[in-house]
Amino acid sequence: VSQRTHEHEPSEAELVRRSQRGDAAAFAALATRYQDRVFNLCYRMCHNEADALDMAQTTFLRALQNMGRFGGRACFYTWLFRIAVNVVLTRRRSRSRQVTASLNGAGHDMPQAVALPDRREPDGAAACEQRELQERVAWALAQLDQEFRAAVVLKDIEDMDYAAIAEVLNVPVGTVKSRIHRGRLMLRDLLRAERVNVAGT
Amino acid sequence: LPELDRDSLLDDLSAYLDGELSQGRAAAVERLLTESPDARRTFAELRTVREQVRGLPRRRASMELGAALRGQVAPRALWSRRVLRLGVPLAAAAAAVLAVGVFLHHEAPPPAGPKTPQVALRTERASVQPAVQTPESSPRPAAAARDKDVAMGGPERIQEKLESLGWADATRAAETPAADQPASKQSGLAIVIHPRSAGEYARYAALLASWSPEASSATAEPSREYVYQLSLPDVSARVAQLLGVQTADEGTGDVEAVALAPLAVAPAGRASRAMEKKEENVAEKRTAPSVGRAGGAAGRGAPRSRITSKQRDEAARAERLHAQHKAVTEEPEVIVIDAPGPASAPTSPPITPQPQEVAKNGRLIDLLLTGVPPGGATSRRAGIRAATQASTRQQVELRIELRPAVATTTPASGPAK
Repeated sequence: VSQRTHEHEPSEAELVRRSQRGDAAAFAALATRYQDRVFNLCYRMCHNEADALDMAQTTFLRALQNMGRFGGRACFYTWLFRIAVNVVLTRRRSRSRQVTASLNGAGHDMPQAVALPDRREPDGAAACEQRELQERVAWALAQLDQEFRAAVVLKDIEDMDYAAIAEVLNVPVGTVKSRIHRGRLMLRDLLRAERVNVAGT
Repeated sequence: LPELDRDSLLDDLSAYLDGELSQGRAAAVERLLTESPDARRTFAELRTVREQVRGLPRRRASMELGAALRGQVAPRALWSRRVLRLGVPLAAAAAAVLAVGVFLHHEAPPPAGPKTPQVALRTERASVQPAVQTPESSPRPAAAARDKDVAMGGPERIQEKLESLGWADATRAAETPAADQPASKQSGLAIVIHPRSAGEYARYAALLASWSPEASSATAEPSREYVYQLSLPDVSARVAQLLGVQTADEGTGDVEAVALAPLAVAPAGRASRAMEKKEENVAEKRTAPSVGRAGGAAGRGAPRSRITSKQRDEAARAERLHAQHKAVTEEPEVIVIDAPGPASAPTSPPITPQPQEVAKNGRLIDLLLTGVPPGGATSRRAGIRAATQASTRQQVELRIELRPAVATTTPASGPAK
């Protein structure tokens, strides 16, 4: 019997309602549900773990403070992402001095040594190449202007549709479309310049 | 295809890839793809780039954010009224933060329900509590409260102080029906300072000490709480000085400000009825012989002797938490005012506030003092203005809590370079 009660997971709408009534546990449950996505979004936007954690935390704090304003018209996570993007963009503006860190911290050059491959291990080489590719893609993403980065991250990492992205970024759908397209083209050029194969099939 | 169409179709390749085009438009893109090798190449590249971005590993938060947040929310109960704390020191950033909140007190008591908690509230606010004391972790023992009363000069002294602050006589207030109560008598500002270093702590402490003639007290080193009664312009000036300290200290922290819609203007009594019912139930369950029910003759007669009872404190705390939650959720407009980052050159320019910064600070102060959030909900403005007008006629309470320097226990990755 007790198991059955445990299995009953309250719906998102229910958690939202309860949070709005001041149920801290319900809000914590919502936070648990979305914290990894919010954190990942922040991380891909700022490329720094500590900052991302800080931003994610700020996002949830703001969400908590503004729960009463969430009308339920949008998806809760769309609303949450909108807060997160605002947090990220505001923070980035206030730290304009901050230069996007390159992967090895060695300056403007591309990372030469991400991690030494251990080619003795089975599949070591392939895994290593894969990891290196990911590092380069992450680096290229970090080079984009944040408007483009936000659009690309929300589309390709968060897999949101254009309408939801428009809502999160508070811009028209047409703008989302052009930012995603231009963002991808810029990524292509950056990666190509780093001799990453983007030719496709 | 004409050149123009061709270009616009090329711009639609990503949307086509994402399945975001209308049927007709998608068909046009498909025609272009069959006709143009260039378009096909670009399309393949876009698809590859998309897959590469999609292939980035998902990162997971290294801590329970919800739990951490609960930890951050709980200390709000420290302020015995409707104070919103913001800008909690986040471990990762370890940035100095001024947390500023607007509070209003002396809200109308609910039409029914426990009156005595309000008395407890009032007593509490008149005494200067060590800021580190959390009601949750250390329910105030009656003896300690009595000691405090003595320290403040006893109950008469408290009553005097309450009246000097514009508070109605507690007993009378408990007897008056809610409808006849003034909505709000006094508003104020609460500022919580979280310095990042001992040096910064010292600078804040020195500044606060220089204002000390009006300061009620400094207790529980190194966490201090100050209470001032000031006119609005003085409050502005002092907030500006505090912001100045932060600026001087290369504050990378944001100054977060929040304007709360004055709760008392909202029909708080009605809104909180459910809560009162709950509280009554709680009171019934825990009834101690000496605790009169809400509005009971015993409670009306000599509330002061009982305000320290644990049950009352519990009920008061529940009411406070509820009120604070309402304060947080009802209509807050949160803005972040960017604190200027550290100057890039080692020899930083003298700290003369930039015009932009002054404007920002001005905006902060305006926001706090007028309570009108920029672009905020207009429906509430009338209420907000009414409360503000009331507060401009009076002195405003400025409460400042200086907390111990934040231990910079940053995660392994450390703060951003």
